[in-house]
This record gives sequence, structure tokens and C-alpha cells, in this order.
Amino acid sequence: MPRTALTGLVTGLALVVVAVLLWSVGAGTSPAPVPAAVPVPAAVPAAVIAPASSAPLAAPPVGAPPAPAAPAQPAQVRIGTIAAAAPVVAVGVDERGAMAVPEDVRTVGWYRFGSRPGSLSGSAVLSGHVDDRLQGRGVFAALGDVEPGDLVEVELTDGTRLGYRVRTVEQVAKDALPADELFARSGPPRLTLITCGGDFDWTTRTHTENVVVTAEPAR
Amino acid sequence: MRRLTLALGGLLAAAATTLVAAPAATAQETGSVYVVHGIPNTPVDVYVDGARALDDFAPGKSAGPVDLPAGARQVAIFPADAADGSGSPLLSATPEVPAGGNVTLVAHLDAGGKPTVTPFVNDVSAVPAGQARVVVRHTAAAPAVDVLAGGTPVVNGLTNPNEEALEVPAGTISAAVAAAGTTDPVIGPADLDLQEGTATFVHAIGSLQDNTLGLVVVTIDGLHSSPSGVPSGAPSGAPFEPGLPAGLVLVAGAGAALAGASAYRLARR
Repeated sequence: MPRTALTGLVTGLALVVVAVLLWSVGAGTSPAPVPAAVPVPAAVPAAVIAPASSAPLAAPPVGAPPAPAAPAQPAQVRIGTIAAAAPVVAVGVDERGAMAVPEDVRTVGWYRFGSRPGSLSGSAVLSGHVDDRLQGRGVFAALGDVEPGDLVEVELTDGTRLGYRVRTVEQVAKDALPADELFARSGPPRLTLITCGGDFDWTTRTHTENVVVTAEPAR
Repeated sequence: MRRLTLALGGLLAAAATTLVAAPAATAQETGSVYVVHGIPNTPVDVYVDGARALDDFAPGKSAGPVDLPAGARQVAIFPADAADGSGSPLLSATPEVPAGGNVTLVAHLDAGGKPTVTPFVNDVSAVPAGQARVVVRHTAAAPAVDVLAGGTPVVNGLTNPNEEALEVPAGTISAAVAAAGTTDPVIGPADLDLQEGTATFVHAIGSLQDNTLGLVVVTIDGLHSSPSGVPSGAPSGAPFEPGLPAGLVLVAGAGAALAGASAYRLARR
């Protein structure tokens, strides 16, 4: 019976290998190509074009110095109650017009076209991936566990530390995400933290919901 | 005394350099108006419906926005040293100010070098997230031009008094104007900082022949849109699952058992 035994050995080992392979690539099909969210290098604070100027031939850049009140860009975010701490990079939009979230699940993106943490008005938006099969748990994996009153700390590139207190924790269907409200550039100053939650839809290969935490400056 | 107060008021009004709405009107019945002065070497006074709105308005400058009553407005442009709005103006026009709309009146030279006024309707619709709108206007005494961004033509064969709009990713572009079909700049290159969610209206003014070409830039902000969503799920397309999923654990376990039993049988022989 050596042939049968040999076949059994090979088949058995093959099953183990296949099972491990299936796990590592995810449910047996190759992952759908997901556009990379490329973090944008921290940009120089952009100047506003002076509305009433004329540029002569070969003029120097048309523009005014940045408003002195603009705070530095965010560099770090920490939420002690869920043991989350991560570097923050400036991001824009991806090719579909959605917020570009850093590819690295342990890095958080700040929406650079919106308000800055520490600015006098509007919502500063930070987002990080919840988790990933290949990278493991993301920095915001436990974001849904924060509670009203929890402290969120943001450190800016100039060393300034800002404290925020969590006001609301919500889980919202992605197609019902109130983007205009979350990304508003006016209104009282606030910090909005977003990650994914809910079920994972294997057809679209996305989570069905967003976890949204809003926080206001701590007094 | 009353006469003195009136006279002082008149002086103050004359000294004001901001464009002021002529008759009062309710918010629903007004439109926003900008004015661009693109006629070289000719400071002017601008009258709207008979009232002086801009005093000593210098070439190469813009003013606005101001809310004017919707409808046909009478605009008369006099040399800056004119005593008042009587007599025959340098230029006159009766542009239509649309209710709730946004227009720019450009005093400029036509392609042949003759002064004229052209009203442009400003596209102030929302700009997609991450983008900026640039509107290029040919209001200079010059033939057809191309507009170059970073040395590459992005607008071709634009003629006076026409405009072309582009929506581009926000950022700084190096813009230049060249005769149509060429890349040798007659204006610029100048860096334009196109902020996200804004519309930048670039007016080419002056005269090619007189070597007085230039740009007047008017920026309107607050046109931004929100991102369409926050895709903060698994970047590789599959979520993290601590440990092996149960089904796969079963398969792997069965495989290991089969392999082990077979190896035992092989070893025994």
C-alpha cells in the first residue's frame, strides 16, 4: 500500500498549503485592485491669489502671504482610551473624488483641503483604515469604542498640542454619510475622526459603514 | 450747516474708491458684479445708472464684488479727470445683471485696439473636491492665442473677446500666453496658485503692439465640494481576521491528519 499512503501524504500536505494560501489572499479570489491612496507630502501653506492685482510680464508668483492665523499642520494623533497613536500625513482626494486615506493602516490622513486642527472654524477631518488582511489592525480599529468625553490629542508639526473631547460616536451607512456636514469648512471648530465599520461586502470589497467620531476643543 | 454736511458727504462719496450699489434693492433682486480695467494708460471713473461707483480706477486693477440691482444697468466710463457723469463718456454699455448671478464687466481693447466693454457671466458653480476652476479670458489687443500650463498648450486658438474654462487639480501652475500655434510666451510665464474649491478668472489685457500686455486675476472662493466618501476599509481588498477562519482551519486540520496518518503508514512499512 505504499502508493496509497504516499498519495495520502501528498494530498494532506496539499490541503494544508491550499488552506493557508486561501487565508492569505482572502476568500480564494485575488483582491480587487484598490486604488492606492497616496499621501500627499505636507504642502507649503497655500497663498490666496490677490483678487485685485495685475501681473506684468514674467511676474513673480501672483499671491499674498498665508494668513498668519493658520495653525501648523497636524503631525500626530493620540486617543489614550483606545491606546491609539499614529503619525498624521496630509491627504487630498483619490481619482474617484473620495478622501484619499493613507495606504498604511498605521498612518492617519488629514484632509488638507478642509480645516486644520486648531483653526478657528470648520471641521478638521482625520481618517485611517480600520484594518487590513495583510497589514493587520489599523490605528482606528477600535474607534467605535471611544466614548463621549474621551480625550483626543493632536500634535502639530510645530509642537503645539491640542486637546479635543469626544462629543458623538456614530456608525453610518456609507451611502448616507453626511459628507457636507463632516467636511464643512465653516461653523464651530471641531475634529472629525473617520474609519470604516459594519459588515464587509465581498462584492465591492468595502465595508458597508463608516464610524464617525466628532470632538470639540477641550476647555 | 446743512449745506456744509451735504457738501462733506459729497466729497466723501467722491473719495470712495469702492464700487457702491446705486439704488437700494432686496437680496433676491441683485446680482454680484466685478469690474476689470484692461485699457492701458487710462485711469477712469465708472458710473452706474448715473451715480459714480468707482473713482480713479487704475488700469490693470479689478474691483468688486458688489451687489447691483438685477436687470439692465447703465454703465458709463469717463476719463478720471472728468468733473462728473455728464457729457459724452469714453465708453458706455448696458449690461444685463442676472438676479442671483455673477458677472464681470471688463473694460478692454478689442482685437483691433479699440476700447470696449464686455460683460462676462462668471461660472461660480461648485468645483469637484480637490479641483480648481480656471477661466481664461482674451481681452487684449492681440490675435488668437494659446494658453500654456507648464509649457504645454491647454487652451488653443482663443480669440478676443472669448473665454475658456478648465477644471484642474488644485495646485500651482506655471501659466503663459503665446500666439496661437506657438509656445514662445507673450505674457508670462507666471505662477498661478489655484486653490482647491476656487474659481480663478485670468484676463489677458493690454496691447501686443504697444507692448502693454498683462494679466488681471480675479479669484472667487467658497466653491468647494465635499469628498464623495471616506474609503477607510481594508486597502488590500480584504479585512483583517485574527487567526484562520473556521472553514479553512477544518480543511487544514483534515489535511494535516491525513498527511500524518499516511506518513505513519509509510514509516511502518
